[in-house]
Amino acid sequence: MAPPLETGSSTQNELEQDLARLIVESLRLEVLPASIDPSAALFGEGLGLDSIDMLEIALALSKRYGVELRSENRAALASLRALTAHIAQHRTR
Amino acid sequence: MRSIDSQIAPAPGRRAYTRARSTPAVYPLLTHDSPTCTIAWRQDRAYSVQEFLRSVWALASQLPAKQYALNLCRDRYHFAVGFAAALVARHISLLPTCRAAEPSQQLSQRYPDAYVLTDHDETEITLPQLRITEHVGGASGASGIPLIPTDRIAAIAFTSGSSGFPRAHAKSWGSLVLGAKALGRQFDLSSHPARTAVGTVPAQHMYGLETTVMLPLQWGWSLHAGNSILPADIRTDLEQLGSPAWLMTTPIHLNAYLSERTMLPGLEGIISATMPLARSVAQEAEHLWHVPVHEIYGCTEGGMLASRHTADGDLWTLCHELRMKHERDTTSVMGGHVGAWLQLTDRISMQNSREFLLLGPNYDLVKVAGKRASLAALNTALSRVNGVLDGTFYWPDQGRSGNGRLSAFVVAPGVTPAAILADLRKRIDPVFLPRPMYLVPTLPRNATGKLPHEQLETFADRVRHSARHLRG
Repeated sequence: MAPPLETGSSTQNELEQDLARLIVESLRLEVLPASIDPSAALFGEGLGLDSIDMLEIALALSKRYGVELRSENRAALASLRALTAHIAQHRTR
Repeated sequence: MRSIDSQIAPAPGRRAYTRARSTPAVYPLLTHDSPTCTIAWRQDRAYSVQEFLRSVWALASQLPAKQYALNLCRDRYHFAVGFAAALVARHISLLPTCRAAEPSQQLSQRYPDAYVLTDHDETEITLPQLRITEHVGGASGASGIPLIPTDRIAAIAFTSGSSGFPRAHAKSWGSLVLGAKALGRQFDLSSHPARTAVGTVPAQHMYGLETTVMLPLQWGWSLHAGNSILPADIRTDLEQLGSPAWLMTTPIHLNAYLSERTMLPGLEGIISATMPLARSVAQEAEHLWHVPVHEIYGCTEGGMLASRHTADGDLWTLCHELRMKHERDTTSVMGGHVGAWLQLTDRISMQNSREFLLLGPNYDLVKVAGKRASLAALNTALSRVNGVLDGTFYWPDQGRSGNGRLSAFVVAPGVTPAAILADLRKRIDPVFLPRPMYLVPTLPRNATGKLPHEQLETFADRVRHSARHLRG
């Protein structure tokens, strides 16, 4: 496992790792959660996820964090780091 | 030279043709009762038939002098304006369901006399582009209802051929209109007032085209411009809509909205297609939303072929105008909007001349999220990936279990899974990308080099088991 990046608070890093695991598990991706570049694009380039993936991620986020994703929050899915910031701000559990 | 249809219906609201036993020579673009009827909604903004027709005529007069319009609009209203304008200008709409780089390039090469109609930046395609948003919304100009010859080719839809090249299916205007009429008869729409079709499937997909564009045009309904799929977005779309709606969707989306217990206000009906819906899911949906859940069985080549009220049972009822026959393991349909005998790619058990059971796709065929591919074609694409010595896609239990996605077993010493996926992404639609992909030392090929189905299943179980074991 790569060491967590020294940015933000430690809870932020924990959340980022949780989210990386959530993405890998809910989409059954063949990558280690720690290998996801926090600043790389999740959709399009990078992991190259599609719209069904977006639906699956939205469901997983809703179940685990009580955050309802909308297409207007698309910027939150730009990268793992953006998603972490969005969830940290809006989570209800 | 650009050619614009000058044939116009005498007045909106009056039938411009008589219903004869034989197919009429023309069908009107739309059948709404008056120019003030609503034909589309975007959020809480209603578009009238007159506004729509003005945009169609204005756009049609500005289309390039080419033969094919590659309609990539994501907004359904933009799509409909582009589709209708192309039809009026005698251009054939190309409806690709995949936007990956290689298929897009193949399409550009195959149809060099094409231009792109779009409402956003298209980066994967080199054809000349026309931004439709700049041509929609004129306040004046012609607004007659175009009459379109029945035999005019309106669209070309695509399926993936086993060779790896998309196979083209031409759709005449007559077959699209007859398909929309059949759809309405199957769901008894003549006894319903006009409603709004909200879709979670793209208009470029045959099922999306039939239920969210052709149905509204031919039954006096309106279409919802949005292309939402997320539960919160669908809920907001329905809340803002000033009209009762039907949701045209798929089991994947329906399962998601059910698991979120998404409120769907103003919904009056649900239609699902692209893959079979479990009866328990249909019953749960009817219980939660108090609306009927119907299913469509069809294919890109034939459009809608049959339907069922899923909560009642597994039997499918063939469209009224169609005939079905079963010969030597294959089933074919003909008549109505289908035309001549069409051989189906599914295994079917006919119960009588009108009803049948769907047993599943033929073994070479995979269906993910409404898209169809041949395993042979996917395997060919995989074999072209740099560094791949051997490999095969695998569909556990034909998609009935798991997440419905494909997995793959690949022999590629020294190559990373990420590099293989990046290469594959350029060659195939991303819904078929393997989830997961397993790197293995060798595949269980027999002496003749084949991969027997049973052997592959045993092998897959073993690999998946040890992968789980490794992860702990």
